[in-house]
Amino acid sequence: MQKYLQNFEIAWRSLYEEIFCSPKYLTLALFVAVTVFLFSIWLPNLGLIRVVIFSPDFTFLKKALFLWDSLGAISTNFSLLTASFTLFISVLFGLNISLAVYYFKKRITFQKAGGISIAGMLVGLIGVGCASCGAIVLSTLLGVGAAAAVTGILPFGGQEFSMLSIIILLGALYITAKKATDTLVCKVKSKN
Amino acid sequence: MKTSNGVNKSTIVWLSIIIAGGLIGWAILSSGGSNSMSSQSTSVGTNSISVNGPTLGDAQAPVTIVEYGHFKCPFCNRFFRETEPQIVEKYIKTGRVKFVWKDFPFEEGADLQRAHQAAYCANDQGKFWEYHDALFTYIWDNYFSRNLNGEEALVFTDVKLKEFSSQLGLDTVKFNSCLDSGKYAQLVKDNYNEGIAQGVKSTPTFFINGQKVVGAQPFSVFEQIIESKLQ
Repeated sequence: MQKYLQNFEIAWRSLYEEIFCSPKYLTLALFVAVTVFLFSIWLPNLGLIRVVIFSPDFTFLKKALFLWDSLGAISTNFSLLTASFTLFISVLFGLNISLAVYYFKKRITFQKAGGISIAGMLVGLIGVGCASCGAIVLSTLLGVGAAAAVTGILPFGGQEFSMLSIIILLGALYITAKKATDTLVCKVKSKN
Repeated sequence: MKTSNGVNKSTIVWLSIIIAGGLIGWAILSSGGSNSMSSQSTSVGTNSISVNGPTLGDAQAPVTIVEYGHFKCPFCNRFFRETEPQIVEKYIKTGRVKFVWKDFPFEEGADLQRAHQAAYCANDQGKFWEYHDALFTYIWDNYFSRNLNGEEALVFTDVKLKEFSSQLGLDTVKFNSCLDSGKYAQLVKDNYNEGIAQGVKSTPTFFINGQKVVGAQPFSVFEQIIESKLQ
């Protein structure tokens, strides 16, 4: 237990020093988090957003107003739980990607954590997005009837995907952040 | 600052940002719902949405909103309570919009199918919308407002559906006979299949003069789309 707490502290300190204290990486994390959050809200209506953006019937101001107003869907088209999950997953997306870029720049290999991050993000995509009466990504993948059947038998109506994504993304963040403190040296193998 | 292969490190960061932005842009450009905003047609894709369902408002209204919904959907209920009254007040009562209901009972549960059929039995006696309102109000009062899961519960039993007809002053003999016979079972199924053909994946989904709008969006979103159609 003591060891886990120590590792957690190491991971948190690393995350704090490498991401939160670096304006560059913090900006990247925020940018990705905001992008994922906006994408989640707009996901079911990307066709409509595209039409409005390219419509001559909307002035630039009206287009901006429409995009702003459509963000109100977070209160009308999401439950408190799904809105919280969406926000949390977006932040974790941002931190994972920012940390991945940090690793890439430091040229530290992170295959294991990188794989977990990608898995977490893919699972998150299924759960995230429109929470109105069925996950929209799952409906696209499985069809409406099958998606309704799958979410129907799950105790939390499909929110399990969001929960799973949060767990996987947190795990990936922990592993990668902990790895950031590993020194880039070859370890001497013990003979015993 | 440069890496060993000469690539500026900040370039990598900005490249990541550009790629992320590009992916979002691509998703927007390649997504469905291609109808022009200025189109007055109600056709979407290769199929046409029939607008001969229960209709609220002036049949000659220049804008038609078709809603695919179901009576146990909490977000359809939210739209019914929060947004629909504003649309009714501002656009339907003024003859500028008509509102058409389409069934999309994709959730499991025979009671949901029966509730949709019952609404058409009420329609036979000219009280579809009153019955529609009664169903949404009942599930809100007894389930959603109390944080109870109305979607999976047996909410609309035949006894309850017949009780609503009595409360609304319908001819209960005719109503009960209609419901018991399953007269509208096929119509509800047909509406559902039509929704599938139109690419409906969740409820509520709206088509405003053919433009697909998914979810219980705020009134201001509906307002801006309707205004653009009225131009």
